[in-house]
Amino acid sequence: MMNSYRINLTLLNMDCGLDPLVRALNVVRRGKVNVKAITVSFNRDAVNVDIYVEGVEDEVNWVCNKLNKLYDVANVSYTASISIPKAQALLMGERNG
Amino acid sequence: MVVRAVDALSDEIVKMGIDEIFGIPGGQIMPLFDAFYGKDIKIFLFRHEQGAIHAADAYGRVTRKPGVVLVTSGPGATNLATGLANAMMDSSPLVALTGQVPTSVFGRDAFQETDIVGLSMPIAKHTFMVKKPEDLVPMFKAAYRIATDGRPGPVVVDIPRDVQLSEVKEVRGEDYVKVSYKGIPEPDLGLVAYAVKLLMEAERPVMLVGGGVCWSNATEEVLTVAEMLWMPIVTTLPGKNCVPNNHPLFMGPAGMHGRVEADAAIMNSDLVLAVGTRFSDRTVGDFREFQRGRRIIHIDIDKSEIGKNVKPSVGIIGDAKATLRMMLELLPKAAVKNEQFVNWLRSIKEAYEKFRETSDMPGFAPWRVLKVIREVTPPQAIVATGVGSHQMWSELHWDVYVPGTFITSAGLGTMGFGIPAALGAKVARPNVPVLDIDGDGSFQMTMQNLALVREYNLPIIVVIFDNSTLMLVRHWQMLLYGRRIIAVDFQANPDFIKIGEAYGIDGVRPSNYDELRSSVARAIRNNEPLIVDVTIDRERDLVLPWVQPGKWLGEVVLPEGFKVNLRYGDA
Repeated sequence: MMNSYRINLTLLNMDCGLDPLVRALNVVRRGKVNVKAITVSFNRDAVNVDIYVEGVEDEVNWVCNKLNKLYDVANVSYTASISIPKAQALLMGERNG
Repeated sequence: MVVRAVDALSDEIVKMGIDEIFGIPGGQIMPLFDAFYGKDIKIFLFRHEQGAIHAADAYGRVTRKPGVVLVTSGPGATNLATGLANAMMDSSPLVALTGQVPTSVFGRDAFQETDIVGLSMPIAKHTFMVKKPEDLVPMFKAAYRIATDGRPGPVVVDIPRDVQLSEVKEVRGEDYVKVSYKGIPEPDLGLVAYAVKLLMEAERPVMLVGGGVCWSNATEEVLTVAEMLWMPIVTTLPGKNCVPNNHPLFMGPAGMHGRVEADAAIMNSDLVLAVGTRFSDRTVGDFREFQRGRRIIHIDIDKSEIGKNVKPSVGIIGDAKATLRMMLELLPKAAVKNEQFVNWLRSIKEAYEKFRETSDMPGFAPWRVLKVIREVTPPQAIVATGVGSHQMWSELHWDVYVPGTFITSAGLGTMGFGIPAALGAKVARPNVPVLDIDGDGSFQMTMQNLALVREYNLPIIVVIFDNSTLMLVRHWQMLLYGRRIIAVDFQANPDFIKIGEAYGIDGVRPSNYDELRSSVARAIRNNEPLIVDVTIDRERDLVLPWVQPGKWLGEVVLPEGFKVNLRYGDA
């Protein structure tokens, strides 16, 4: 059954580079989930990423297991998501015209 | 002491005991090549980067240490792409060091600039872009460790030229690099106990062995568990390399180009104990049918493989050896053995062997060619293959006696893998005969690397199954596309014997099996390289048995004239 989920990722941050984030997104784009929104914040040591997706739980779990294999992923988890954060939803709406 | 970053790295590489590297130099990697000048390290200069990385891949499979490949930026780096994907799919450890344009011109489309880190992310286990000279040594060490951490795989380290040439005052430790190592998960005892319970309840359990068994060094445990329960052993293509093929419980690889007795074992099983396999569509065919009416126990070191293609009754995340040892502790010593089931499967095996012994085709029959070569090849000899019908015949008819001696491109199916893989294996094991079972299509994709045979004294024996076509594609065109043969037949192949001559390698085009046998035996005895061009009739080179993609094993197409009942209990 399709549901909404929030995947929370903590990436190790070296030199404020984008590589860990891009690597993680490469995994997500191969998963059978629809991405609804992404928020990213860079701290000194870590990058925190929330990915809001729609999909069946098995697929979300598979994406998380794949993410967990990455060597710059310190932590990954997912929770059922009630709704996409408003700011992100607005941005998406604007982009989609 | 102040040294160039590349000097610090080359010193470290030598200190780590890495004494053989594969590669091709170019502008942006020249500083690192220069740093190896006069050092105690041997660099094997390939004729194409794809060859160098396949050699590093095979070297890693044989030595169980990461092979190291060293190339320049741009085309040098992009030529690694196939090799990276190949190593990733077959879980082979290697480290690829690529030169990069100076950081000052990043993104400016500088000469030979390519974002190899971006390009390789989805096809490598990990990638590093070295931005600071003091990071070079710790990043290489981390890459080397990651390549064999948990499930093995390829790691890329991209090094801009200015970083290579910059001076470093101190070499940072490996801990400086932020990496979340995965290690080897401990199997869950409760799940193992439950798996043992299911095994004891099963009437016709079958073990499915994948390539993970080799990496885990779990052959002995696999055989002990199988023998305790008298459980037939079926394999994937890489799994064929992990158990002695002459073991009485060995039924061979299952699936698209598998053995009928292996397909029959899975079809009639009520439980499959799958060890170190990702359940490739090539092995299983129809996933839904595979899961119907049988329990599945899946052991794998990689959590993301559990439930990926097949939903198991029990999924155990752990090293194959450790998990099977745990199982052995829990298995009762006097377990019930279903000898009747195994005997039935062996009767299928014997019937198929007998059929192949008596069936023939004009010229050379691929299965007989392999049998003749096997007769004169020592058990510990290493065999690499290309990709094509010769590979599938090898899957069916090459007997692996010593685990770890069969090297093939299983997951990616990379044509051209054979020659460089054989060269890499010969570098790793110079005192062991190394053969490349190849096809004429596959051979021509990387044959320029034959130059290394004489240059570095790497006497490999290349047996070309020469059917002047891309036979597996032709096979599909014949059976799935109504014989609409297009763009597969070679009208003007080169003379492979003359190709060999050009590289200083003797060649033979045998006219009968005795000539084939004696020429291969002589080359092995004298440790001499040889090219054997075996002419095979493409009209008759259909690799059968064959299961159509996506179909269930029961729909196997058998060779003409061979009949067998694949339903246990009906016979």
